[in-house]
Amino acid sequence: MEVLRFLTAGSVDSGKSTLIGRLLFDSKNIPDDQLQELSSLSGGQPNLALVTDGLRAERQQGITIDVAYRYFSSHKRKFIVADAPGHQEFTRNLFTGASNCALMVILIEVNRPFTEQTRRHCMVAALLEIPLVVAVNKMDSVDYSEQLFNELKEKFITTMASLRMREPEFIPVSAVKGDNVVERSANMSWYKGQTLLEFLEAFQVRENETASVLRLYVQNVLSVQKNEKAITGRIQRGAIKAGDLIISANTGEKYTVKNIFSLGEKSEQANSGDSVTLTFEEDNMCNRGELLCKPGEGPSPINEFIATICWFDDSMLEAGTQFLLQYGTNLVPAVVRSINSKTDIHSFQQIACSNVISMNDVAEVSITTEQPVTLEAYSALQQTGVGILIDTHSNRTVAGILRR
Amino acid sequence: MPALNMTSFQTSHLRSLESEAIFILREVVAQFKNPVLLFSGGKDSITLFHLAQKAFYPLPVPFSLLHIDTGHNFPETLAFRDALVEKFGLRLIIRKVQDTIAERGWQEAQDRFPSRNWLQTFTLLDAIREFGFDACIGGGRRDEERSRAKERIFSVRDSEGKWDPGLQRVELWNIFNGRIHQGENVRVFPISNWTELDVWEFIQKEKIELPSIYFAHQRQMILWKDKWLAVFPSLKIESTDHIETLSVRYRTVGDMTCTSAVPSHASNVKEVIQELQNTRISERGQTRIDDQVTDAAMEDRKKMGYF
Repeated sequence: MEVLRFLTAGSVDSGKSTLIGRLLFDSKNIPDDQLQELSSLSGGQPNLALVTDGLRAERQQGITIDVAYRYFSSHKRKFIVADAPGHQEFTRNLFTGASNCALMVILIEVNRPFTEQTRRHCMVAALLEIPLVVAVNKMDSVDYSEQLFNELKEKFITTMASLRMREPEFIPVSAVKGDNVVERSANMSWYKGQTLLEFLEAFQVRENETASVLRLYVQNVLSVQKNEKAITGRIQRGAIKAGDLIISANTGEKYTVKNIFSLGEKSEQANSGDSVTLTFEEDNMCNRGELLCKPGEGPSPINEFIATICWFDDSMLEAGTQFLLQYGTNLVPAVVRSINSKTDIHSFQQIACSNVISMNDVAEVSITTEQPVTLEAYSALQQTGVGILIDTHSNRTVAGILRR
Repeated sequence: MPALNMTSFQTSHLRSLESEAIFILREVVAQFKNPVLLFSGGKDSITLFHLAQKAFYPLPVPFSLLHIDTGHNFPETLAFRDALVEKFGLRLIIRKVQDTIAERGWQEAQDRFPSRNWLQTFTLLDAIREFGFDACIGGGRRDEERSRAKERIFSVRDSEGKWDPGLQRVELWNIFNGRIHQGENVRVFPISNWTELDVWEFIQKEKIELPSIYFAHQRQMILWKDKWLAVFPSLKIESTDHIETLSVRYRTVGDMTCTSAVPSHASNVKEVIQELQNTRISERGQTRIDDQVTDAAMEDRKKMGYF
């Protein structure tokens, strides 16, 4: 099985840090010296909640501010866990972690109303089309009640229905006691499903039906010899063979693949995920940023499109503002022409927003670009449907966008 | 750690890490005018160099190497560095912590096991200004240490080289925003997502040569607290010291004065990998005596401008 990259998100005090600590501890992934440190920081028993808190401020305040990455393995699989903050003001860090994950583990507390943070976590998962698993924590505090677990599950499904996500798995756990995290719980014989670790080990990353469609953004153009140039790039999806005819979606120029160097070695074929260097039979050459596809399969360049935006900056976003749009290996001046509607965090419905949104809002916008872009619909091809907006003064990344 | 035993899986996992690192290195060359590779002679920076060779093959690596020389190096590491530079005809820039100390008229603390880890930051920042580097590529990995676990792959530093963990840029998907103002620079970590074991399995697959201190050898050692430290030339031997010759290897290459060794008989890459699969102690926990001063020693150094 491939490595599973997953994200953990939970409201403040839902026990998320303890859950990750428990997962790592019970699967024997915390080195002895770090365990010792965790014990000395808490004065006695290792405090599992401190495992992923990397910054001094986080340990002092008992909160997660930015994503931390942990690497661990079981006998069956390797994992990269991105531990994301729960606080609303750190949503941008949640988004950073989620953007590279195949699964989101949302932690909620049994017997507690859903928080706005939980709604936000679900909204981000729905937006990025990431499958969810819900760990229902603190089951020990309600005598491991099957009834309360089932009630919460029903309520969750009803509340999140309008997000139209695939129905998540629900796992009743106690992070503090270790029930159903790695070890099967003796206290919940009514639960017949998998433990969290079993679920993670078996989780199948969904393959898109269009996996065979070739997509490669040109990264660099190398002058290999006097009259020979090569291009570099990472195959986002699909495969390339020597002799293949490919086309630039930007210019319509066609190229015949002569040589393929995959990870520095000459190869007959390269596959999705490989970083390659290509030479072509033709003399003319493409440029950085162009999107290479198979003829007839590429997107048409556009100057104007509708996107879902997640706004991260402290300042408001107003319609008419100019940015740099970075997508693939391109950087293009772009303007947010209008902000059509934003998602209401309580109803998940689109509501009016008078062309202004603020930090952490998710909205539907119209964007125009100075040059044509090859962005595709996110729901069809995720890797080539996304971009970031960069503030032209501060150079900061202020928004993530997904083309509709 | 639980051992995985899946050879074909391991190959595809390494391929994916390798492709990611190469993609990042190529973004650096496309986005920056004057990048440099921070090279210590340790396994991580040697791995980075190897990846850079693959990224731009058949052309030579398109940036220089910068060694911040603490003056406390293992002679084996320096010899290895020089041989590598010679073999590939590289441009190596060396800037010495000793010179920074002399220029600024600093007095060093007279510790028994002196660490120049803090001081390296100043030498590094001086070198960045001197050459106008806009990107410094480093071999830092997120699994090494808890503040590293928080860092972005493109980590923007202000004009004083400082890292502000509360103000990190959003970093989405595989889109790396390398835009900076004059005087700022970006630290780039292409092997962020590699573990220590991944690095060693890559070294095995690619048959990469390493300095000899990574493998078991006989060395004169003293036991200090619970760590084995090499007897180095300027070390004052105290009456309570017990010098022993034993078979050791190093898991990390740092200053000779404050990097401890692991008793080991692992004499080749395969045996090192077996040893790592069975260890219960982390890389830094076992080898760095200067990270154990406070629970945030690395975080503090990074905020000052460290790698």
